This record gives sequence, C-alpha cells and structure tokens, in this order.
Amino acid sequence: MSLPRTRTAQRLDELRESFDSSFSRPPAPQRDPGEALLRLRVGGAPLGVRLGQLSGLHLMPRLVRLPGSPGSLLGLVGLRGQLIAVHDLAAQLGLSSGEPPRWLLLAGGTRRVGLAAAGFEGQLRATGEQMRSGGGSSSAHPLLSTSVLLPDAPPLPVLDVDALVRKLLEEASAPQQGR
Amino acid sequence: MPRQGSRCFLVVRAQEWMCALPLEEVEETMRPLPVAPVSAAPVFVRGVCLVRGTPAPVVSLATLLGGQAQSGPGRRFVSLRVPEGRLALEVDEVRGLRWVEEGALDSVPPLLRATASGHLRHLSSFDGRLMAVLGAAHLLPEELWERLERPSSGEGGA
Repeated sequence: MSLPRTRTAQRLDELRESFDSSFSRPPAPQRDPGEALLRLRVGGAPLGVRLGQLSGLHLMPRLVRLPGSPGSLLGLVGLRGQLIAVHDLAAQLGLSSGEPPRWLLLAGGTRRVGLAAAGFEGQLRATGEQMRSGGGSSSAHPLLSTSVLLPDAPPLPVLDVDALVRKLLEEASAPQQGR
Repeated sequence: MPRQGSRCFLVVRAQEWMCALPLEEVEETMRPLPVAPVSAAPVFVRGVCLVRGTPAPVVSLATLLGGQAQSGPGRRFVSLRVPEGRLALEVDEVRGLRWVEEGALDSVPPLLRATASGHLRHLSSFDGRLMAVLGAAHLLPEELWERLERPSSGEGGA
C-alpha cells in the first residue's frame, strides 16, 4: 500500500514543482489568432469569405423567383420579417453554377443583401502572413484579389464581400438615378 | 456584492497584519519562488526572484509592517504591478477578495502615518480585525529599484 502512495506523493511533488516554476517562466508569446473565414463552395470551387464581412449565414429559405430579373438575381427570401434580394455568387464571379444554392449569406449591414452559395465546407483562421493580396492569383476577377496560402492545398481565393455588396447596391440604384 | 462606490481588494495576512491590496495592482498569487538575496537592501527586501521571466524584488510584508526581520519565509507571493515594473510581496496567507465601500475606508490617524514606512493608505476592518489598505506604488524607494535593476553590482541575482 505504501509504494503506490509514495509514487503518488512523488508525482504530486513533481506536478507542484512544475506548476510553481511556471510562474518564473516568461509568458508565451501571443500568437496572431488570425482572421476567421468561412470556406464555401461556389461554382464547384472553394471560396473564402471573411466572417467579419457577414452578418449571418442561414440555410437557404424558400426562394421566390422574380420574373424578368437578371440571371444573377435568384429572387427574394423572407427572413425574420424582412424581404431580402438574393444574388447568385457563382454568377457574380463568372462561374458556372451547377449546384442549387443551399446557403444564404447576409451582408451589407442594415441594407441587407443576400448572397447564395452552393456549399458551406467549414471555417478556418488565416494569419496576416497567410493572406496574400494582389497579383499571383490564378483568378483574374477583381473581387478575388486576395487569397489564403494553405499548407498542402492550393491557395484559397477570398471574396471581397464589401466590394461586391457596394457593386450590387450601385447597380440596384442605377436605373432609378437614370429616370 | 459589488456596489457603486466600492472597490475590490485582495486581502492578505502577514503575521498579525491583515492587509488589503487594491485589486487593480495585483497580477497573480503563487507559492514562494526561489529568492536570491541582495546585500545592503533594507531589511524588508528579501531579495530578487524571477517572475514571468523578469526579475522582481521580493518584499516581506510582515517585516515591512512589523519593522523586524521575519523568522521564516512567507507562504505565498503576491505579484504586484508598480510603476517601476513588478514586485513580489511575501505574505503568510491570501484570504481572498473583498469589496469595500469607499466610505468604510478610514484615513490613517496622524500618529500612524509615519509608521510602517508610510505605506498605509487607509484603515478598515475585516471580520472584526483591523485591516490596513496598502499602496503598492511606492513600497520600494526609487534608488533601491535602480540598485536592483543593476546586476553588475554583483550583489546578488536571480
């Protein structure tokens, strides 16, 4: 009986010593937690979206198509008592959309704009070192000028949601100004 | 329960003294760390220890308030933030947190102001015992900080 107790006492001493000596050591350097991004699938390809540029992510509610609307405007959805125009992300980026839109991204702050994506594949964090802006991207689309460098995977293009929302709102208000 | 106009203190005991340390000056508490003695330091400075990778002077609260060298080492260190950096206060016991209303803090009687090296800010009571509120900012004189920060003097080190 005494042997296990001695071992336990020794282990306790070791743990206590380790804990006490930890106060002498300098604090571990704070690592950049990185920026949170959602990994989506749009037009059959992966796409990153900054979480900070979104106000919500929902399963696509019932979508009411509008007759005569441009192809990239999928229709309207009702969400929490508010009507939201939903734009097809794939069409906005010039990609072929072979899959039905299953996910609705909300952006634009108080002027809510809906963006439809086919798939939601997860979340990731990217540090400033991993984010690469400007040239070098295989995509020539101006809304995809940033990409995330990932280990063992091709760079993940990141959509500039704010710029897309600005463009959509400008397009929506353009015909009214022309009247 | 905290009320408006009340402040939170960490209550510690050093021999017969019950002391309150403003919580905003407290970093953490720990068991005593190895202390390297420093010569020619005041009697209440036990030496220097390494806290979070930086040297910190160790002040014995019992000796500081009691005026006489403490017989044995304290059982806890309280790491305090001071303008010069960090200071480890050696105490016998950490009693916990206590909210004290500003109005309950009595000023130190003139006769006692010069005692305890002038470190008493207020007096109050804790469970029927006298409780001294300390200010950590000037527990060590500036010239002593300079001496402790100069390891080249060869009078000790962590």
